[in-house]
Amino acid sequence: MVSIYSLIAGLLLVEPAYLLTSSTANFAQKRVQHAVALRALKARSIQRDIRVETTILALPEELLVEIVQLLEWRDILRIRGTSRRLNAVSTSLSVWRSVVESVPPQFLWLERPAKTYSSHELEKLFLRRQRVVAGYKALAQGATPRWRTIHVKESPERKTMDVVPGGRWLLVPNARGSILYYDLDASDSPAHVLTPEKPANCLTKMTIDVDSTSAYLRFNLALVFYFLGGTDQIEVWQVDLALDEYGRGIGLRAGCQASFKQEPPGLCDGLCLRGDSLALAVIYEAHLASYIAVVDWRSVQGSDYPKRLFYPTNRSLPCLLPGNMLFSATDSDIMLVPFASLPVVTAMPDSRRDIPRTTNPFVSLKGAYDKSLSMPSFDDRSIRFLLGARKTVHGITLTPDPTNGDHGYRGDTIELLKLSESQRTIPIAFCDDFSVVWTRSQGMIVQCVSWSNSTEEHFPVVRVDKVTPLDWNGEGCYRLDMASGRVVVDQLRRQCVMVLELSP
Amino acid sequence: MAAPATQQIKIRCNDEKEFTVDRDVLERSVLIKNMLEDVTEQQDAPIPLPNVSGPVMAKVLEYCTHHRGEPLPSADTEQSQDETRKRTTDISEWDQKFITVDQEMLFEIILAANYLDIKSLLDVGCKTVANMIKGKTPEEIRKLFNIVNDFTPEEEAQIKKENEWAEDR
Repeated sequence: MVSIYSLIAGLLLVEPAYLLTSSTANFAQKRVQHAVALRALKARSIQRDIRVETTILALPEELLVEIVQLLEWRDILRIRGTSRRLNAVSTSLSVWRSVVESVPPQFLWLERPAKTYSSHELEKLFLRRQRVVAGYKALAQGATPRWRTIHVKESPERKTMDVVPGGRWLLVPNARGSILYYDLDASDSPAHVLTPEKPANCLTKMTIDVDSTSAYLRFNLALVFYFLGGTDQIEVWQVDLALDEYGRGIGLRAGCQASFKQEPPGLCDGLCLRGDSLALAVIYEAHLASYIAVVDWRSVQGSDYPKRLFYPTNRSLPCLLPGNMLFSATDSDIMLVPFASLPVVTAMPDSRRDIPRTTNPFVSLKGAYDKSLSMPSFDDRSIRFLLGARKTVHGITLTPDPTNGDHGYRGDTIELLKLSESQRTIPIAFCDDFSVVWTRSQGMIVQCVSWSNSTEEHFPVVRVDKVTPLDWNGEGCYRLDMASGRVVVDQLRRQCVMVLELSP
Repeated sequence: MAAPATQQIKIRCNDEKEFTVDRDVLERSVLIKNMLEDVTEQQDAPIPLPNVSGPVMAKVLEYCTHHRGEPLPSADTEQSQDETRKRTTDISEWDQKFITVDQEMLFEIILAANYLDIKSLLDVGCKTVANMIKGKTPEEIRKLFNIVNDFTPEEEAQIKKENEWAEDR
């Protein structure tokens, strides 16, 4: 009996199937079943011992990373507090790459590919963006606004500056038309020269057009120089991020792409660059009229180059939208002009009657006031901008509406902000759900509003100039950059630019 | 020998438990697929799988049988699959039901899927754990997974302070 059992067990170790060929098949089979059952029982008890050990922390590092990558950023911060091991996983590079890759590029406006950043840098940039709302709420609850002052070398005539999306680079021209740049991420921000000086003092206007297809920050910079008694000049520069030996962005460098005479001549009110098109609003003294001209700047040669002109109902600033559309708002109407359909002219016509006039303003804005519109923001489906009235600021959304003709749009208006007293309000900038509004008696206001018109929580209005009074009367420049949480306000008379940091 | 489609393969787990499985079911595991491709001649001996136990393998085979015939993620599509996989923690109804097991079994399945290189099963497991973590406080996560708090009180307070702002919605 014992020997048979040993034999079976021994055979079992070799190959149990052989047993079935023996003459004592039945008997042996039962024994085998018994042995297997015993073994299974034993195995199960061993198994149970193993399984007690199998907790989440039994997973190797790469699997923990795999799991944490699937979490939202808030949950990633939460697992930090559980244990040292998960804390370490929550700071890993692939976790933060995955977080950053899950948001649209315009959320952070990274100036180089995500894979070139350290996990600490990615985390810092991402959380800075997330903290804008928290910082705003702190202001609403009475926290002191955090202003920084950037002293700029400037001309007293200056009425322009710009902030590159992402909020790091501030561009300001000096009296000689040289564009200087300042690194707002650095603790001190000295001026660096981006483009060279002109031979004489001039009034400089500028605009930027970011190339969103470029892996590294790249934008075109259009400059208009207005010389007293001289020829007005236009330049377009391509600006790239300058890298150090470790591949980190340390500055900007520019190369001239085009330089030509401004046509028509005259003081440029504003300009907009988009791809190959450059739109200018110019006061043409010979006609005593303000025109908008659109040129294909890459193909300009000599003078009397091809341009498309139109004559808006009033002085207005141009904004180029996708699909060859020109958005322009005067104090009485909003125009959406498919500019490719305008006739091409070379020399200036003799009379303003020869220049197409927009006869069908898209939206009539009764009760709107001079300069009370913000510049628009747009995506594939809609155009949004702010409109200031006496006690209210409205958000206007334009969406294509084919039932309204070829280039038909439908406008929807929602009230975003209501003030207690009647006063002039000037919406100056907005981005996502934030807007900056200037009011005559209350100064600068930052407001978080929901454009979706949903029943989401409505944040209180925040006056941000009560501690540091701003010398600003609604003129000059202003930018709101949500990626960095910065409100940048020009201080013309103080030779400085003020930066409000919303994100702590 | 039968046609490749119905070829039977024998595997042996670390607890001696053996399974005889259709080759295409087993080939959901890239590890075994590569192993079988390397061995051209017919082998009678079972493939030893020293990192997987019988009960876990039974679960894994249940999954592989259900998903047999589905295309395997190739190296080319991996990138785009990764993109769509990230942050979408949706799990199909059958997989959801399949993965409703106790925690020990869940982590065993994840380890087995990782070892056997069954990407889709690994995803289901990881998503399930991610879903369990979602929306929970550090204390709740610790309790749920039986994680020992190995921070000093100072460290814990520091982490809490750093992340306080994120909780204020």
